[in-house]
Amino acid sequence: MWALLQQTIDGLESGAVYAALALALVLIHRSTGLLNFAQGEIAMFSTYVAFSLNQFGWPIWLAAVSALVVSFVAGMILERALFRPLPTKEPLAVVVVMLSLFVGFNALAGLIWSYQVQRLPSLFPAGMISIDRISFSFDAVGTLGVLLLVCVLLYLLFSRTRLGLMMRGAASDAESSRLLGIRVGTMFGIGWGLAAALGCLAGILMAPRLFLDPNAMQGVLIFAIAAATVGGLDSAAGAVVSGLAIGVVENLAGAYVVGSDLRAVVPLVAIVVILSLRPAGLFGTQRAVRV
Amino acid sequence: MSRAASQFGIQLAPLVALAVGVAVPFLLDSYTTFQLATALSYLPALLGLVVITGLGGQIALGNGAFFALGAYTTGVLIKSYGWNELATLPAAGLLAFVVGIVLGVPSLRLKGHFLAVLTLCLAVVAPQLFKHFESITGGVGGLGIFLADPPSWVRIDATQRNYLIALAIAALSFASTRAVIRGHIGRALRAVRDNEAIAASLGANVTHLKVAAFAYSAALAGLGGGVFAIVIGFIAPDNFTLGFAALLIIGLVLGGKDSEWGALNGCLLVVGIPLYAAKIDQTASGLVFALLVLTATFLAPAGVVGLTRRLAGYWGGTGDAAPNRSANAHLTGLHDAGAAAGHCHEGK
Amino acid sequence: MSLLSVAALIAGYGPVTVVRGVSFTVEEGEACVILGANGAGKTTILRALSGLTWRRGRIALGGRDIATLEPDAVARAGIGHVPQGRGTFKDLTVDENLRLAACRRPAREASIDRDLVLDLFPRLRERLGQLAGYLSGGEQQMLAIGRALVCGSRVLLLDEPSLGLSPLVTAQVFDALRRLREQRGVAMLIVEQNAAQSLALADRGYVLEAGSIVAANHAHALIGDEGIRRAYLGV
Repeated sequence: MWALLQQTIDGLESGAVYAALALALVLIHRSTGLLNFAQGEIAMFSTYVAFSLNQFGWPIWLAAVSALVVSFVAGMILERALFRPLPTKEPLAVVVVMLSLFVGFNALAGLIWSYQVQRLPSLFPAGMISIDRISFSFDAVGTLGVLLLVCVLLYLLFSRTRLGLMMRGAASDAESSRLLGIRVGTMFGIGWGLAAALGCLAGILMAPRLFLDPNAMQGVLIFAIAAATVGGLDSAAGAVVSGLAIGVVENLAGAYVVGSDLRAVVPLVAIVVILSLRPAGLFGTQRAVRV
Repeated sequence: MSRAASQFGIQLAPLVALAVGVAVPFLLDSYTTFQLATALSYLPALLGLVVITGLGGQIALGNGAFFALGAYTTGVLIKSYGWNELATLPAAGLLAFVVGIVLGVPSLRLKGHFLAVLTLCLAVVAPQLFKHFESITGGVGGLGIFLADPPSWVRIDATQRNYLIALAIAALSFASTRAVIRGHIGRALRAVRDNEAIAASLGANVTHLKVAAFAYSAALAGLGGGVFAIVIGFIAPDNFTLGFAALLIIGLVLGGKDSEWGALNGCLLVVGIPLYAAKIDQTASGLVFALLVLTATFLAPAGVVGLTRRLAGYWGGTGDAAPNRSANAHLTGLHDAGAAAGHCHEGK
Repeated sequence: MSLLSVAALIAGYGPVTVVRGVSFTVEEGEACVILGANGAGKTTILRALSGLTWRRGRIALGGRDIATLEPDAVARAGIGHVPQGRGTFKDLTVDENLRLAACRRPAREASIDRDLVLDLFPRLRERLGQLAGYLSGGEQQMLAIGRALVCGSRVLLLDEPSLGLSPLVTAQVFDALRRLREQRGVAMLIVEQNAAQSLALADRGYVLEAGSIVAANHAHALIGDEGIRRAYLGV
């Protein structure tokens, strides 16, 4: 019983990382309708930036915040330079650009930092809190706390600020937004910037525990995509809940059912089943298509 | 060039290519032959992608997994059960086909992103599965496949024999895919891709079509994988990661996703580019691919084949008779969607 | 100087030219109508003014050339385009729709216009918390018009405001437009197939056929014209 609870809490910690990256995916999808396959590699690259700054002597918190800023800017640049001017909006063309970003950032990271595994210090102090037979590491508490903070901030942004409202308008109907004088391109850019920053955050939260190498975020990406998809691709709440759930399921499956080799398979099988029953995702809305 | 002449040229082109292909191992050195054989082992997988992604518009990121399945089928059958290498190939293709149907049926209810997501999961899960079932697959360490040299009376060495096997399979896949592209099913697929709701309302059994295309692409990928195992002689789960699946799609788009020639271009690019990139730096090939794709996307969205069509247009030829975008062709496609529906109902 | 002046406007979609050189003006505080059958190019004119299609020619708002501006810049310059199909944000509430329109203005100015809109369209006030997607056609039209106003537009471009609406609701919409003119004096350019209501509202009108203007006169003169009556008033 206590072991189960412990496993659940450990699962929540990884789930928080999946949730953060899933939020990034949802952000981009809501504003531009794109599912960014390269989000994980961009996150990995920005985490390396934090790593480098830290290696250079900066304290980890400063390195992390700087990396967040850098990734925000990079996200805006990517949107402006690559995705806005795409000559064709065919899904395949977009996917190919994303796949090439995927492959490209991976190779670039390998070139700059090599494929050797690196350690990134945690944002939180080492140590545990113990209650009865369950222990929470400061890491776990901190990670979940950061996720909560992020959710609150995003909620406030979108429901209480002018900027958030403009972003929602641009996402809902780009042309009508333009007719109201809203700079839709800038709104998309900010969406991408925020998404990149979220991805960077996910990487920084994950790296202390799972270490950093150019392939580190691929596993996270799959779960984040699964979480976003099951959550309906447009639902931030769905993405967060699903991300946390997937973390827990993965952990429990690894501990009790299939062993750590195949722990990744269980949530993915769950995705297949869920999508077979509800093709638009659990929290998604079915859209009718006008012919 | 007159229409008749260019049509004749079009019919003749594959045969010319085949003749050149057969001559290659006897004219070029062993290393080049080996590289070309590797490229040819990718060709069936890319041809399959032309059908499901180029024609069908379904973004299938999981065909790397089917390729791996075929490779392991061949590997295991040869190594553990002593099968003759040629006999393993139909088995590889068939197994991949069956798995393709099993996975295709639930996944093809999904549209656009959701299907891409599912196949992405497949691409990631497959290497894990291969690593897990160590006793069969040899796990992380991989599987070595040792083939006996050809008997001396045949007068070709192992590399040349492997190449010729690859060529034979590639040629069969090419011919079959060409037939699919130019026939009913190709037009029906295009109709479904362009407007699924209308195609369905005209009687196309959309799900059957999509599953059939998906399973066909899986079978071809499996076949290609089997050939790959024979040519390379050693396979490991890490050969077949997400990066590999990404490379296949990139190769498809760079080469030209709508035609069988595009697949041929693609497989040459997929093998050729890393070779060049390795001269700069071992790890640079990913970067080179990325830059190439991005440049191509902005300058030549239709891939190499699109470029050649445009050039042919400038020279006054009508290009080949393959997919044209006129409204009539669109309607013909929809008509054929209905005809294919009839086929599907009777055949399956 | 006219508020909106258009000269030799040529516009279309892709390779197709729909508008073949039209010229017209809209004066400060005036309501103008452009009448035309389906396919004549009315919508294209408005879309061209907003920069949503390619266009050539001179377009000046308050003397300032806007012919090369992007749609969002055109809107910021003072064009309030109410498109066919209303263009309301269906996943946002009525209140959010109005707030979004007010985004670019100082809060005080915007709230004066917002109060005006809610006075003119009491139904909107009742439905502030509802998603715009659930409003009836007439209510959405009112919301769309209200939005263009709250946005601070100097001239409203209304694309077939009667489309899809019952005669009763159409009358209500035009009545609201009339009161809007009286209270705020905002200029309007209306394109319509339905001549009766729009000519009753307008000061001047133009008739568009196959991309060219074939008649231009004061509204009452157009109403009196036999040919117009037969073609557009069904008399």
